[in-house]
Formats: sequence, structure tokens, C-alpha cells
Amino acid sequence: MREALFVPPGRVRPRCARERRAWLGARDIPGLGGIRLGVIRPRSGAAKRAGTHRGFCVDAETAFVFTREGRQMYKILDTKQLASDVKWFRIEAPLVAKNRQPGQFVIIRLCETGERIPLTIAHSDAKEGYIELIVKAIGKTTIELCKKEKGDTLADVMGPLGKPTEIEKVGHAVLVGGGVGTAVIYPLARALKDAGNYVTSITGGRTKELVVLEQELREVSDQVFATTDDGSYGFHGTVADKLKELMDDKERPIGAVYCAGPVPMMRAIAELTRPAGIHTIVSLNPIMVDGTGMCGGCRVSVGGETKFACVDGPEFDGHLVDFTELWDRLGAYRDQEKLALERLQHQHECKCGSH
Amino acid sequence: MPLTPKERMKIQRHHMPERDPNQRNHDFDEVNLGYPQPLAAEEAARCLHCKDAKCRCGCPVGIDIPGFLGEVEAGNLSKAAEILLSANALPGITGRVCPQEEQCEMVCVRAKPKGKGAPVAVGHLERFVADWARENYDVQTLIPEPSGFKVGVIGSGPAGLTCAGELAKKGHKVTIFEALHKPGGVLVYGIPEFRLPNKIIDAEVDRLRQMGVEILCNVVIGRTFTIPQLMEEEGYDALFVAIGAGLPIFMRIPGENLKGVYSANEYLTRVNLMGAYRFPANDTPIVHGRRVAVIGGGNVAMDAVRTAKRLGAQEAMLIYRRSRAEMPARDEEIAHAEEEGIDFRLLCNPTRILGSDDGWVRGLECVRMELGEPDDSGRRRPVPIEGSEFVVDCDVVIEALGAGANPLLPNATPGLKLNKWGYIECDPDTLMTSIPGVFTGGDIMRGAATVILAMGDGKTAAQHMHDYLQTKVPAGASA
Ligand SMILES: Cc1cc2nc3c(=O)[nH]c(=O)nc-3n(C[C@H](O)[C@H](O)[C@H](O)COP(=O)(O)OP(=O)(O)OC[C@H]3O[C@@H](n4cnc5c(N)ncnc54)[C@H](O)[C@@H]3O)c2cc1C
Ligand code: FES
Repeated sequence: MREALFVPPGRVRPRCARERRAWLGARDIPGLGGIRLGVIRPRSGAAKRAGTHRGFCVDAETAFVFTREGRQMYKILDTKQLASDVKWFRIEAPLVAKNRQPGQFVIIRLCETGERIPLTIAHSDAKEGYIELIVKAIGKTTIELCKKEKGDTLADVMGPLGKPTEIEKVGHAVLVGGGVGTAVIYPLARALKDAGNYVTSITGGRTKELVVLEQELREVSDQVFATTDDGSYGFHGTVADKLKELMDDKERPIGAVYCAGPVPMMRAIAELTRPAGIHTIVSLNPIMVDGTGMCGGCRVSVGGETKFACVDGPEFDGHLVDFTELWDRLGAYRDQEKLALERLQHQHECKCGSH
Repeated sequence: MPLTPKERMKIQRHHMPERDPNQRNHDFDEVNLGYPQPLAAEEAARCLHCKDAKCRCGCPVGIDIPGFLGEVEAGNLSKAAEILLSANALPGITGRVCPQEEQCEMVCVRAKPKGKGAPVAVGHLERFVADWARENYDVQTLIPEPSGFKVGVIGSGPAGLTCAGELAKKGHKVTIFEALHKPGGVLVYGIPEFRLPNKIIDAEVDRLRQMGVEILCNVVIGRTFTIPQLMEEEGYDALFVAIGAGLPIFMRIPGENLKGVYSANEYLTRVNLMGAYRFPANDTPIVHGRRVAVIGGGNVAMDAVRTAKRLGAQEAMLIYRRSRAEMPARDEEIAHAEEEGIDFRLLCNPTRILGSDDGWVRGLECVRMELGEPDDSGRRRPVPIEGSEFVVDCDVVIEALGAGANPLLPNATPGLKLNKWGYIECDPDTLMTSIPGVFTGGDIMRGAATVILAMGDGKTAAQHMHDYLQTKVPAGASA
């Protein structure tokens, strides 16, 4: 590592001014022991989870923190709660931000024992060197991620992955997002708008609480519709109902539909646009491991052919995707996911039981 | 008094001490225990020190085998380590995974007459010296004068690690880019812990770091950076592409997308890299089959089926379309698998995976095969016996049919010439690709091969990269 300064566990003081400056940039790392700059309490749970219990390294130039093994740590720069279980993160990941294009995702890992999960990059800034993610707390990893705050770190952020969306001039582009699927269409809205399209965004949820990013979408779309299944907010009905209304509007024919969300929703949208022959692009979310086309775990059937979503996608022609198979494969680890969640809740109760 | 050849001939080959099969097939600890020193010295004494030592030519990296065996016999382990390490930077790894029976040990005079003789256990002794050296031998890594050149190594498998070490020794500033979160390539994500413990690879990687090699994980070349970006914007003077053959091959039979069907890559990655055998302490899950069928007959298939057994499969089966003699796996792995209670179903070819109503695997339909005429590879071609279809009940199917070329990096690299299978083409001597300054080696150049060949490529490429750099001015020099 270039000019990296290794700090063994228990070291209290920087050796020189340059090291001190580097530590200053790194002091938000959990497990470093708070006020006493740079002291690692090797046995603390936070240090273990963060991987700093065996010491850490700081790059003198950039103040990036690396674990002893030389892995870079990814710092959370800012967070915002968007709904009770949806959170926005800004994460330091300059290499990912550099080449990232709309439609791409990252694979993250929280800690040494963590799993690898894909998350769409909602926004990025190459100059400032950060990416933004929007996460809904549904499984063990996402719930733990959503507990993280500014200053915490992620063990790994790998990317950008997947093919970028083909941003074309289609005239009227309609973007449909269900739940956190909205995080997927948000960067597309921005890019399609910049390419000179008329952009309509539809963001839906079961109830008002679950409609996210409406404000943000307004900034990058020509018109935005919020829908709720129960009518508690905006249009009463599903996103498909709203799309149907737009399809009936002969004034502004639809050039293409971009859609992301739960599988049943994407299927409904694809079925709706199929008879009308409207080009429909869906962003798929199968289970992934490596994200480089090495394992084949993310395979989906598209037009009768097997494709790897992590490298051939994640976006595919919605009229060709076998949604039944995708839905089925997503359930492969349902029992294990339940077990992991129960364990998490149990741990949580134990911790909180004391007060 | 040195032993006479006659005395040497009398010593029988020493069996590698192993853990009990019925104990080891429940955990992931290493199977082989390694020779204790007296046994190693005695085994080394079997070497006849032939004048024209065939074993040296049998070794893809040309280790001075009689030389280091002599030192082991004499008890000079640091001298033995020095000889070994001068030719092979990763002996702890190759001593465990090299197919010695097709290389050094195959040509050993003591292997004759065929079937009766037993070659000197070069592999076991290599492992012995390497393990000793890891604990006791400080490699004198002289940090050379910086050359001013910046070189990048893409992929941290055996090819990449070897190349990085060689380049660092020559004073170049080396950065390794690895797509996954842990360096080591197939050695960490593919080959299981019970055959090659991760701590051995970690030690190698640590050594490279001490030599000043920078390792950047989570960087996918072709996405995070492209090769033109590295050369033009990031100021790399030369690159070595060693991304392995990371593309799983599926049989393309019906039912492959059922739940419970894995590629061996996915199955092994979940277990080895992600630690799924520790679930729920580790977060990555895996489907624990009660009856697991692994398709294939190579090292990968052996690793997968033995892993399935360790994950608690009551029946772990290997389905292979030829007979045992044609299996490409190392002899030792086949023998270990048999001892551990793996059920070999030979001369069977899967035709279809059967599923239950809720989308899970419930069986594998196979057809029986017989061996016909030899094919191009010289192995007898299996031909199906008509009407002999039968169903193997199972709940997990793992396809271990080998690997192809992963197109991610080539697709993002204009001007990089590939052969018809998608592997990278290069000059056979210098290993330089169609792009000046970009070299390649290992599985992405050869097609799925072996660790030692990948390492050999890493070494060759490093030499030619060095020569190439001597004709250049460092890109960063003007800045
Ligand atoms: C399960 C299994 C068992 C095996 N057993 C044996 C054995 O017993 N004996 C033997 O000799 N051989 C064995 N082999 C074969 C041997 O492992 C390979 O031949 C060898 O590892 C090839 O080395 P490599 O350096 O070319 O590539 P790899 O080891 O495949 O390493 C390539 C690395 O590059 C990374 N990478 C890929 N794409 C990119 C990218 N775009 N950007 C950055 N990084 C990238 C990968 O993540 C990987 O870490 C086995 C293989 C497998 C899969
Ligand atoms: S996630 Fe492994 S191939 Fe796509």
C-alpha cells in the first residue's frame, strides 16, 4: 500500500505529524476507541466487526483506512431516513464512483462474516468520490445496514457492476418504481431527462409510508405520480393502473417503459404493455454472489435463453423474462433467511433487555 | 557415509499421514497431516540422484528436485528451502495441489517398472519443506532500488501472485487488482480448506505486501477501471492479465434453473469464500442436500462432492460419463474421495433434472454409457446405451463440468485479440497480447489448466515485462 501507515492495536499516539493528519481523517472508524485517537480496543465487538481489531492502516495521502490485511474500508459519509424502513446512504467509494453509469449496482459486504448483496447505485459523484444507496430493511443484512450511521464503515463495496442502461431518445419515457424499486428508476429518470426525453415517473407502494423518493423524482422528471394500493396517498390503485391511464392518453404516446420493483409488479407491467407493443425494460434482482459472471447463481431465463443478470443485465426486455422462474428462485433460501432474522431479533432483544 | 544406491532402493515409499476418513468427512480441517521430519528425511533418501534427472524436466517451473531432496536428507532444511523458493514462490500451495503423478513423479526412475515401482514422494516433500519454511525461514527479501515503473497485475490467482512477486523483486511498483474481496483466486474461492488451508495463501499474500506490493480488492477491471484507463490515465507502464477462467459451464439440459441446482463455482464459493458451512454464524446460506449428485470427474467435481459430504449429505454421489480410468482428477483426490464414502456412479450421463411442484430438485435422469473408440483426447469416447434411462433420487445437483473464458474484461478491452474459445491470444514466448505492454497468462490464456502452469506463466511474463520495460521511460517520469 502506498505510504500506508500501519497502526497496531493498542497504539495511542501518532508517530509524526503526517501520521497524525492521516489518523484525523480516520477517526470516525468504529473500534478505534473514540476520543483517544487511534487506540484500538482489539477485543471490542465494534473493532471485530469492522475488521480493525488486528490493527489498521491509514493511507497518508488520502486518509483511506485499510484493515491490517490491506482491505480498504468504506466510510459512510451521511445517512437519511426516508421512511420507517427505508434509508439513504452516502458512502465513500471513489473508485466505484469514477466510472459508474445509471443502471449499475454495487455488491456490498458489511463485515468479515457478512454475505454479499447487490444494491443499485442511486446516485454518484466522481469528483467527490462517493456513491449513494437507498436500502429497504427486509433481510438480516439490510436490517443491519440500516442501523448504521454516519461514520460507520462497510467492509466491502465492489463495483460498479452490470451493464449501464442504454439511454436513448424515446420521446415519452415512463418510469415505474414499486417500493425500493424506485431507487433503481431514480438515476434512470435523471439520465433520460438529460437525454432530452419527456419523463413521467410513477412511484407506488401499498400505503403512504411505502412511497419513497417522490420529492427527489420531481426534480428529475417532467411529471410524477404517487400511487397507493389503499388510497392513503396520491392515486388510489396500483402503479399498473396508473400506467394504463397513461397508455390511454393518446396525446402523449409512450416511447418506452422502464420498470423496477417486486417481481409480481414487474410481471403485471410487462403484461400490460405487451399487447400495446410498448418496449418495456425491467431491472431484475436475483440472488447474487460474485457479480462478475463467475458463479451463475444469478441466472434468469430471457426469451428461452439463460442469462447471468450480473453481467448480461440487470436490465432485460420485460416481454421476454420468465418471471415465474425468477420469483421461484428468489425463494431458494427462504428458510435460512427466516432463521437469520429470528437470530437477529433474538440478539437484539438480549441487548435491549437490560434497559 | 552416504547411502549406496542399493540401500536407497530398499527404502519403501512412505505413505502420507492422513486423518481418519470417517472423522475428516465431517469437518473442513486439512486431510493430509504432513510428514514428520524423520519420515521426510527417509523419504528423501529414496532419491537416487540420477545424473540426468528426469524429474527436473517434468516440473513446469524446473525446480532442482534432487538438490532440495539431498538437503532434506542431510537435514539442512534452510538450504532446501532456499533451493525450492528460488524456483517456486508458492511451494506450500503446489506441494498440496500439483498433479505430481503426471509431472515430476511420473518420470521418476523409481516409478519404474510401471505399476510396481513407487516414485519418490516429491510433492509431499515439497510440502514438508514449504511448511517448515513458513514457520522457520525468513526469506531475505532485499528491497531493490525502485525502477520508477508502475505495473498492474489483474487477478490475484497463482499466476497473478507469482508475477507480482517477481516484478516486485526487480524494483517495479506493483499493484494487484482483484475483483473479489479476498486475494487468492481459485485458491481461496474454489479449492476447499480441507485440501489447501487459507492460512497458507494468506501467508503468501502477506509476504507480497511486505515486499511493497499493493493489493486493491473489490476492483473489477472492465468495470471499475478499463485497461485503456489504466494505461493512459492511471499511468501504468505494463499490465499482466491473469483473470482465470471464471465462467461456469452448464450442461444445457432441462431443469437447470430449478432450486437446488448449483454450478460448482457457486457451491464452492459459497462454502470456501463466504463460509456458508458456518451458517448462521456467517450470513451466507447454502442448500444442505440429503442426497447430492455432482456431475463431472475432475478436481472441481471431487472438491464439490467431498464438500457436500462434509456439509452433512447422507449420500454424496459423483456422476461421471466415462470410467474411473479416464477421470481427470488427481489420483490422490480420487482415492481420498473413495475413502470418505463418496458414491461413484460411473458411465452415467445426465439427461434431465427433474423437479417437484414447488420448484425444487427431486431427481436426476441419467442414461448409461459404454466406452467406444478413442476420441481426439485419446480417451475412449462414451456412447449412450439406448433405452437405459434411470433416475437418481437427489435434492441437490452440482454441475462441475469445467470453466470457460469469462468475457467481462475482454468485452471492455478494444483491440484485445481472443481465440475462438474466447481465451486471450498472446505471443507464445513473451506472453504479450495484441496490445503492447499488456501480457497474459494462467487459465485465461490456456483454458482451465493447473496452478503450477499458471505460476510458470506468471514467472515467464514477469521476465518479459521487465525486458519490455527496459525499452521504455516510466510513464510517471515526466509528471
Ligand atoms: C475447485 C477447483 C479445484 C482445482 N484443483 C486443482 C488442483 O488440485 N491442482 C491444480 O493444479 N489445479 C487445480 N485447479 C485449477 C487451478 O486452480 C487453476 O488452473 C489456477 O488457479 C489458475 O490460476 P489463474 O491465476 O490463471 O486464475 P485464478 O486462480 O482463476 O484467479 C483469477 C483471479 O482474477 C480475478 N478476476 C477475474 N476477473 C477479474 C477482473 N475483470 N478484474 C479483476 N480481477 C478479476 C478473479 O476473481 C480471481 O481471483 C482447480 C480449480 C478449481 C476451480
Ligand atoms: S452473481 Fe455470480 S454470476 Fe452473477
